Amino acid sequence: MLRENKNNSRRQTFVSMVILSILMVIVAGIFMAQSHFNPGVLQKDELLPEPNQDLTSAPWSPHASFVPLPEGIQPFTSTEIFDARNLSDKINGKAELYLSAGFTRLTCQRFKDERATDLWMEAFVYDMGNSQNAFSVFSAQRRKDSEALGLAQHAYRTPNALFMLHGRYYVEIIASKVSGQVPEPVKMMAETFMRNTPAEAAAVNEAELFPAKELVKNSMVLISSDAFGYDGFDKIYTAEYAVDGHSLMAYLSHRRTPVEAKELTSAYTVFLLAYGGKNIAAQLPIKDARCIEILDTYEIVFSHGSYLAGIREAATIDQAQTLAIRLYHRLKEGGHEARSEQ
Amino acid sequence: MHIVTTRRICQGFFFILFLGFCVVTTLGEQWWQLRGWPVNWIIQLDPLVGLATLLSTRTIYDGLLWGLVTIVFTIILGRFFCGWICPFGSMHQFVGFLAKRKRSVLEKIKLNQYHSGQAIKYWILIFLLTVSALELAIDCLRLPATNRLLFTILMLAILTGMILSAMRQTRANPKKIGFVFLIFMAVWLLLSTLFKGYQTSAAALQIGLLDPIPLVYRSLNLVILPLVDRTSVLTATIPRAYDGTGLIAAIFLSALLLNLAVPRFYCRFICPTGAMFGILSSLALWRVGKTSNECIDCRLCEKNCEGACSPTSQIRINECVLCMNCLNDCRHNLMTYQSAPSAAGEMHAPDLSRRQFLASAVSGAAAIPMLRVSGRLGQNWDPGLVRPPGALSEKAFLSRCIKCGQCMRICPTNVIHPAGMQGGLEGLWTPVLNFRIGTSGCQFNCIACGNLCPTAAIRPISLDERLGRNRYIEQGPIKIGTAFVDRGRCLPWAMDRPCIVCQENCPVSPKAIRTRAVFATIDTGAQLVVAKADALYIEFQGTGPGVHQFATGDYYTVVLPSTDHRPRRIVGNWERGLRIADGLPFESPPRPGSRVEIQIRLQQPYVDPQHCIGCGVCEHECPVPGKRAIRVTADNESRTPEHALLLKR
Amino acid sequence: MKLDPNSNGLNRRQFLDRLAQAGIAITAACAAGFWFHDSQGPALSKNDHPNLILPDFSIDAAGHKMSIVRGEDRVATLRMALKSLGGIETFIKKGDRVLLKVNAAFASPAMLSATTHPAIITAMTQLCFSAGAASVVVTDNPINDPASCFNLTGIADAARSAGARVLLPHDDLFRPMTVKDAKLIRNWPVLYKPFADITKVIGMAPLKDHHRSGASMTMKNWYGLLGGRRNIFHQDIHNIIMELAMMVKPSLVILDATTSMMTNGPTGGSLSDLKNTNTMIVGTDQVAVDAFGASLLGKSLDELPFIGKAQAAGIGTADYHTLNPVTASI
Repeated sequence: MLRENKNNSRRQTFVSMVILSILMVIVAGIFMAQSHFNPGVLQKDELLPEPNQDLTSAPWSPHASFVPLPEGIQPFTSTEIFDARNLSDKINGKAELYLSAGFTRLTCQRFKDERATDLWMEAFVYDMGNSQNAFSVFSAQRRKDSEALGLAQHAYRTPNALFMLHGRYYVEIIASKVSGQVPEPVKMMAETFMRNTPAEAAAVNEAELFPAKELVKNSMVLISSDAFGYDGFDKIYTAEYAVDGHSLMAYLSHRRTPVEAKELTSAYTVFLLAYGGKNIAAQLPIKDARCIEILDTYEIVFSHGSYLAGIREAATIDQAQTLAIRLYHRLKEGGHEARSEQ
Repeated sequence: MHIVTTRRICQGFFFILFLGFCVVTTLGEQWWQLRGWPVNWIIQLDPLVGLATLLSTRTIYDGLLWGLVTIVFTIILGRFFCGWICPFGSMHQFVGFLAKRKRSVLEKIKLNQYHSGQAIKYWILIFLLTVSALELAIDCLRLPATNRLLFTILMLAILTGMILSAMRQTRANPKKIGFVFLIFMAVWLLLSTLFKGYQTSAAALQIGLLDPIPLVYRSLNLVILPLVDRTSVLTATIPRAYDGTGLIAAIFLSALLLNLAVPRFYCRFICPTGAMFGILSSLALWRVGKTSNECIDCRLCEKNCEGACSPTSQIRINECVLCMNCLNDCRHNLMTYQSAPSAAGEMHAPDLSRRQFLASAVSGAAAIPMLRVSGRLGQNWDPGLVRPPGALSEKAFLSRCIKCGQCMRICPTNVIHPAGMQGGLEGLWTPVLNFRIGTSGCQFNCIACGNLCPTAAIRPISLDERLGRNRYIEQGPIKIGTAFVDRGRCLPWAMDRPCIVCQENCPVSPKAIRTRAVFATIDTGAQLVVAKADALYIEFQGTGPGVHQFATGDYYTVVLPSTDHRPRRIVGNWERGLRIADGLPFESPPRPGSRVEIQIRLQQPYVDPQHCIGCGVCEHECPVPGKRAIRVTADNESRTPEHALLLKR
Repeated sequence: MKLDPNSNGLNRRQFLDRLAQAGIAITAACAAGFWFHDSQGPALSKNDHPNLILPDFSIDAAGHKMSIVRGEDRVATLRMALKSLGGIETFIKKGDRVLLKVNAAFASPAMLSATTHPAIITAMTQLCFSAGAASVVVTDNPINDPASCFNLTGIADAARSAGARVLLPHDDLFRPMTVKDAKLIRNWPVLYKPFADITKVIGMAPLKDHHRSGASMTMKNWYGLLGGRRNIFHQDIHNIIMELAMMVKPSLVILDATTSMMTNGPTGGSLSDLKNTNTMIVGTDQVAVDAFGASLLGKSLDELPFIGKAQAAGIGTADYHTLNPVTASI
């Protein structure tokens, strides 16, 4: 009995050892299996909405237009490209402004200043199709406390950003904070962009047609459509003038044919009269010019060749007339050569 | 070394393995995250999962083949799985051990007596298997209608078999045999015209309700681990929460507490997997038994008998869970594990009468068709039943899902939840998306659930398929539903409040939620009238709104009457006036006495069903706290072409 | 410890027996395991239905023909129209099994002309039988409850009284079909089974205004063959009508414009929606028949793009004059 007991217990020990070694094999097997990742896990990186931007050694290549980059400036993210369909993904509600002005493509990229850890800037290059569209978006959002820059005809900067028109491109470079380190590299990037990007000179010839005297600097705006609440007015350039402490506005627009300019002139006159304007007899050396008083201000509308032009919001009839005559003369002198450059 | 010690080690090993597998089932590459851990291995080892899905789908999916290993070893060794591996069994054994620790030997022996109620688990097994096998059975019944050739061959084979067996018997009555054969054929032919392949009898799977492995996975994933998350030990990135876990917890807890009354209650009375092993173990080559009959019937071997298999008398092989306690408890060294039958005799067959078998089978066959009379698989489908991406069409899905909760555990945003009654009683505890719980919607570049599902009820899809890229560009991204704006609850639609949180959060590109801007005149409480004004400023007669009430950037003003109806944005206001933005000054300052209207710019959201994938991020983010103002339903889900909302072009 | 040597021998035999059993069981389990193993998982449900095609029921010998008969008695005009096309014998031969696809869309009385008039169903059935047809089946998948539609419109009685069989649609009669070159009818349930063993198909439609498509005539009548959640096709109504005309090539179509629904189609509901246009159009070219029907509704072909689409798809001609339609009046 005792022997058998011993026999029995030896058998149990043997079986136990076999079982325990099987468990070892299982452990080994499991550890081997866990190195073959489940396909579900491999997507983990993509689960994050955006790559972690704290990575220092991100090997992004800079957008070609900005090469060479100023010293110390490095790409921070990859280049992103947006078209009309997904522009709002990037700039959300502001997309409407660009879309209505003929937007074709936005290329943007973030850059980082290596010398300042929390300073980065983002460059937006809006391809607007043509220079007129680009000017339209440029002028529509000209910032208040801006400082004009000499690097292009239409360029200015604010404490943390630079805005510029170059050919059919509207460029914004916006830094993450206001810093003394910002202006120089940003300006250099803008210059690099201009060198790298061939562009027909911003053909805003209308700018030259506005009389220079008493013109408020950088006040020129291109209104794409529905100017002055009149739905027939599109592509209207406006400029502000300051005369004797009063401000008034001159505008002009190049139409396809002289007939169209003339018809639009009278249509706008009708519009003004319909909303309470009064015809005023005024002696002007301009053919078919109409002078109208509306809401205690004076308006003059006329056309010359295929240009439509006018004065608005003048406080006195004299101021309106003086400016209108100056504008008329500019059109007579410069209208043809300005147009023929295009 | 005692074999019982080894058994305890082995049980402990598998229990810890199971716990570890549950804990690591979170998405990630750290060693304590999913990586490549074979977290489904214990489910796959459970042969009932394999068998039941084989019956319902006629395939054995991928790792479920491991069940074969268990079957082979059970045929050789007996019910080793129950006594050595099953984590649920180990829990029962441990609780039972605690409960009977202080009891006398006599009481212990009494607790471990065989009870005729132990046959119930076979009823349950048969019930659950017939549920799965119904479609297969009906397809066989319909053979004469669907495949005449096969039917003829089968009939001929049966006829030959009957003739052969009749020839071997001496007292065979050829007339009687012919008659039986004709009756058999007639019944089959009759039944073949009676049944049709309707959805009501389509394959189903309900083993997940009581199969111990899915049950214990589900309980741990959905109840225990979320509880642990609420301590300082966190098993996931954020504490998990699951909807409707009350019943799951109640079942788990009762199963454990019943051990206080009877040790291994669940294993002895309920467990269908144990029943399956019980049936297989009648084939076992080695079994526990007495070496000789020189027994004094002290019944000490029954003191710790886990299976209540009465080793003292005729041992019930089907009930023996190989706990091996009797081997060392026997003072006379009579008990052993051997290839020879027990000297005191054995009982092989489960304690199951033909009547009980038929009753279980018939009720199993009837259960699903009765539930499906509701038409939930057809026109009466519940649009609230948003299934995870990659889920099969509902019919196929229900024939595979074992309700184990693995998808709910792995989901990185905690949006997959056990269904209550959305899928009917049949769909209880199957995965359904609830976007009100969790950290976000269903992440549109996550494919974790399908790649974890042990039965492919959720297919293992690739990211390309999910997003409709490359090879899948033509079929487009997988849609699990469509978001619908509830215009009666939406802030910009119903309450003149700007919002568009849903539009901003929509993750697909181009966005599936678009907005249209409208200007709505708001009631300021008092009529605002211009006292004086210039191009940018308006001063009111009397007092107006509170300081900066309209300076949020969303408010605009229109002065009436005027030729210019363009709203101008308000950048600041005080009690007696307001200032508008520089961009669009009044061309002529409003005249005194004009009426000032305050308008709010609202962007009203619209869903583009062509791009919406039903991810539910919008529903999750919607600021309407109760019932969201944008909600996802399963309309237009890819898995069911009949639920298409739009024509495909 | 004494063991009976006999019992030992018995044990060995038993063990060998059990070994054999276990071996067989294990082999069977392994075989089943490998046979049924599926490492891929279920594939995306693809169109694995055989590509069913409705046979071409058109009659070559009959060619493209059309007859327009004016008169108040729709049975008389129908008979005359058929006679002018060469008699019913041109279309129905001895032994033909004929399917009449009627419009039984709504459970409304025949008087409201929203459905095919029972009188011409009776007449047509009788004509078919007189030409030697072996059987006539009348079917449609209506919008309202099928049984009520066939009963309340009088179509069921009319058909049965003449000896035709009325086939109400149910799930088993539909098969997923894909029409070649079609964009919409792809893997879509179509009332297919009634067409099995059929040799001739005649479409019988009333002339109706239709809010969504402009007009419901003989081509739109095939809409009643679609199953499933077919209303989804209202998102592209003209193309679905065109594709339906591509799907069905009938032996003959009959457009009953004796009383036409001029407004508030396709349900109508008031007698004031109706107008006695007193015309029966019978033809083999469904496009031409519909084009003429459009003129009775006072609609131009520009208002009914499906006619132009069907012509472009080569189904028939919208310029019905080129068929030199036979015109007559009673």
